Amino acid sequence: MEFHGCEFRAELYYDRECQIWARKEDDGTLTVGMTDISQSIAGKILHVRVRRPGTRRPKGKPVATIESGKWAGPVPNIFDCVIVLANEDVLEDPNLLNIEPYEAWIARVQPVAPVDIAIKEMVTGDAAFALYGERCVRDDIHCERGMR
Amino acid sequence: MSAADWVVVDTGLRPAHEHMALDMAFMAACAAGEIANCFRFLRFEPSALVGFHQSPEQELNLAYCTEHGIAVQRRLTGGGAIIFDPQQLGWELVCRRSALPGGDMSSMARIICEAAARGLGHLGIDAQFRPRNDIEVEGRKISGTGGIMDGEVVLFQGTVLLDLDIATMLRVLRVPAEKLDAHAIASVGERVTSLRHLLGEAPGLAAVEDALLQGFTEHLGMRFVPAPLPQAVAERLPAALAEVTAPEWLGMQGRGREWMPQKSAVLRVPGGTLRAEILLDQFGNRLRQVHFSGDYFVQPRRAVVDLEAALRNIHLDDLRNVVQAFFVEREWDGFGLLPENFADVVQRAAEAQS
Repeated sequence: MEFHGCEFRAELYYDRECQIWARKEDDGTLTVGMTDISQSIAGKILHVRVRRPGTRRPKGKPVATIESGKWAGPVPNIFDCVIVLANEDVLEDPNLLNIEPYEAWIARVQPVAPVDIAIKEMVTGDAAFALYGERCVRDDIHCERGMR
Repeated sequence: MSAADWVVVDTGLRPAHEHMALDMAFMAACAAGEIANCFRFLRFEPSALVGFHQSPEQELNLAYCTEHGIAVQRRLTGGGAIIFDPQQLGWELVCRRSALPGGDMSSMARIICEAAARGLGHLGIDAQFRPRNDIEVEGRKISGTGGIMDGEVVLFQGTVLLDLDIATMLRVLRVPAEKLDAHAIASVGERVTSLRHLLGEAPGLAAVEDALLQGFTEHLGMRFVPAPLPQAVAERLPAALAEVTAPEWLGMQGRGREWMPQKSAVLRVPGGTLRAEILLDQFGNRLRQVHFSGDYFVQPRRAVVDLEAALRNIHLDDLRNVVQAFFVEREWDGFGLLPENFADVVQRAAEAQS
């Protein structure tokens, strides 16, 4: 699925601004990454930093930061969690976030609360797609994928 | 105050850690909705500032900084390492994203830089925006910028070089120069300029500040009201000072210099002798800095400087495509030097032993 050229995956969970996505894993962890909308707004991403595994990040404190074109910025975090793992491929080649934002995950985290409670403020499926489209219209976002 | 009204706060000459803490405190106060949109002027005691994601060891000559009392700090904003002393003026905007024209981050940076360039034009110089985020006069950089966006809060900052001590800059910043001599200073002088150099003498700070504000008024319709440091910022300052003076702040990215060696290569071709000095970030295989020198002639001369800027931070795999695209887009004459010669010498440098 897509809107304004921005890819959307209905099975994932999104924050209400559709900046990040999360995927539930079988072991109770969450995998998080940036949406196609976010990578398009950011432009070519040059740096990614993920906090050390074992670091607790309360809601609002970023799990990761990115940098593109001299802009630095945190990747929003909307649940209290502990960092389990960073995606080494993305750390080494941050441009992957522009090329395949839904394959190039940023971090795997362990939510402090049970996973379904942690993501209760997130949206998925048709409801998420509606918000995704609204964001594209409101901010006039048209997505472009990065190229190597 | 209406949405077009901005407060202007001049926080004056301070050590770097205080300015970084003020940046944090301004952003936090803005996120809490406790301050108006703010335009801040700032000046630094001698200091070297790395970008948010940079490693001080990779970017700076730390021993020289220690020996000469030059403070080392980490900015909240992206971009490269810079030096500051009281001869440079810092300016920055802290606001909600909605206070600026929409668009993606590069267009937001462009609009802000265009406003600053327009303001500097009132000093009698031909300042222009240069992608990605610089302001230049006749091909020479006079202002660098960088930003951070945290949710709905934007902090975008820049410098204006009233004067610049290039010799000290070359000793503080790690630059890919063969040696630090008069030739290296002259070479940097082809890439960077200052108001003193352009105007014969540096204008007063007040004149530069007024010119900048005028540019933002004309370009973005902002109206400015002078104000003291907001109480909401002052209240947050102690906690921010504790954060930026903790070892974890400067050490959050501490990759060693061995990950970013300086390398060089020379290419002798019919168009002349071309030398490339590079800093290659081996974590990710990216060119961080490239400097060309040698015995050749290129018209216009700025083509080489612009190519160096275009090669910053690119993946080595993209080298040939970037060089090719760069020369396709402009008129130039290498007098026998070919675009592939530039790619070849950089590639050779990357493959050379450091």
